[in-house]
Amino acid sequence: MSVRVQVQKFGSKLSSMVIPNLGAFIAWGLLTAVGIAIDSDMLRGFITPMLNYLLPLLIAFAGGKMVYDYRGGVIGTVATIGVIIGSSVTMFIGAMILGPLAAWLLKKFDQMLDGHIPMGFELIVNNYSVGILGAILGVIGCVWLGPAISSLTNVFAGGVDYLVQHNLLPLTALLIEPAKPLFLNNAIGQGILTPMGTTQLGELGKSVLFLLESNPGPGMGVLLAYMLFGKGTSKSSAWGASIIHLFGGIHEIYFPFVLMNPILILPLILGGACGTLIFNLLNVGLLGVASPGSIISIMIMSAPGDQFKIILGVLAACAVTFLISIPLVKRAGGGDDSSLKEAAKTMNELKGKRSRISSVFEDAADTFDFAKVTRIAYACDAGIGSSAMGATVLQKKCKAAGLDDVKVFHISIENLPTDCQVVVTQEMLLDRAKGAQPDAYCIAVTDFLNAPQYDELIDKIKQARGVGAKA
Amino acid sequence: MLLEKITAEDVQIALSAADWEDAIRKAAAPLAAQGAIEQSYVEGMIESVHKNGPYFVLAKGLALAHARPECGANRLALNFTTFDPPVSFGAGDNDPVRLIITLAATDPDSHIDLLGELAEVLMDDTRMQQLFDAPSPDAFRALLLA
Repeated sequence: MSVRVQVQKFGSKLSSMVIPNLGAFIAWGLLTAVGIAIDSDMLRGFITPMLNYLLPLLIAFAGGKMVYDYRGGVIGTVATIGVIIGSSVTMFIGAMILGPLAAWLLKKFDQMLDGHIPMGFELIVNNYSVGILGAILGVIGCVWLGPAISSLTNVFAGGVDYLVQHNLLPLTALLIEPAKPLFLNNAIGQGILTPMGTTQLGELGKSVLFLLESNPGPGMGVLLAYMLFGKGTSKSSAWGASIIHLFGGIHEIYFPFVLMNPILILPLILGGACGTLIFNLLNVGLLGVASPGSIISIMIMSAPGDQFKIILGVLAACAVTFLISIPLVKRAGGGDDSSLKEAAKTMNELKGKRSRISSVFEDAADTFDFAKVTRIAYACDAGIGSSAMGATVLQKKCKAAGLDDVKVFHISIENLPTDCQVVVTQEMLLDRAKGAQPDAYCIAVTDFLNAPQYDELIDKIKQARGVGAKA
Repeated sequence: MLLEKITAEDVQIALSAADWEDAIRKAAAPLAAQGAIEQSYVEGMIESVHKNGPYFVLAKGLALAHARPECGANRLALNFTTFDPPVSFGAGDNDPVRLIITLAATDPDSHIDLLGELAEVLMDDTRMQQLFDAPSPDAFRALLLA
């Protein structure tokens, strides 16, 4: 597995603890912004408890649930209250470590007990295992982990302070801008900057860190360059893309333009650095996370009085990127239709799954990557008869075709979605299968034993893999 | 080979049925008589077709009738019943059905090896035709194991 994929996976774990909870972050940001603006004691009463308890505990719950379902969420939350009590800094890092860790320990513990619990005692054992283990982890967290993570958080915060005070923060653009089109934007934005920025809020009341990744300026600069100096499809789609980018805050939309002309990373870095420099010099910040990175959410979250200065920074970033991009876009000849579609495809490969944005660039035609197929679910209503028979047949055919690593398994359509890339089912059940697992490639057959679709599927997989090996 | 456990008693030849519901009932009758399935399992199979369409008509002329284990399957069992005249299931190209294999399974996995062996036989078109036309239970069983 490449380093990029590993970082991406790790990042997606971090961000999957934060993203489901963004609504709570926004609620907190709004209460804080309004509370300070109108100087209401009642609203200001929300700020500290939400920041210290609610938000870290939500993250801990999401982290625990990711590892071990609801039970994992519960124990992750219980364990995390320990580090919160045992430390004086906002415990995002603690929650991100202890939430999943506690859930993992509980999972191991449950596996150890599995089969040894006398019948009728499951409920009491399950409840007390969470209770006792959670209490122990909470105390461990309070006494040992809390102080340790406090100092770790302080090291990070110290590093950020150093960068801010020496006006070195623009250097972060060197990391952030190239990372974004590689779909590491969530890893950086939600995984690192959001928790660190929120920690800063405790001390400073606002944080510039929220602006680093969410600044739409650099991406807008690239899109502007294409709008005015691009050719063909890239020119026409840049217009729509810029609206989605700037107001919708979905930065993924500009990634294909960069991927088809990677030298554009350079203007992006310079534009990003310029924007951050201005944010830094003008000492602006947001009161909470601006997600998605839309100009609208940035304005809503701006610290009072900072709106204009922030727009200035965004515009500067946009202008710098735009100006440097012009010759690069002209030189590339603007790219024809196929190169943009090609880039959208590359984008899906980089992301490792279909991006919600890629549909803007491609026709409805399949861009499904058959080379990645390793698990095929054969679904029928009951999940015991037809699907089992069909799965057996398809598995035999895969084996015969030399696709030894492709696993075909049968399942009841009710148990979809499941971990698979392709769903095969009876024609009459196709709509239900698609509805249950829209991201999978769905195939309908009428003849379970000799469906021509089996051979088509195997051919497509073999072909996709063959091409993949040559490239 | 697991299919060897099939006896001539598990095969019914050339029954006639009024419609597909009747066909399922007749095909399942021996399993119910042996106690392998409850009557509720038979109703479960019929209801499944009403609800989902005749999706267990797997191939031309062949149906693998089954319901969920919780509908009342007591043990793993199979029955083979051929119909003459063939029965229409409203299954489009796969109609009319000449052979109903009734499957009773108690869980999603224990019968997989058995179905694998069965698939091996049924993927062969000529053998399937011969099974449709088998003149007696013994001949059917011999073809199955051939």
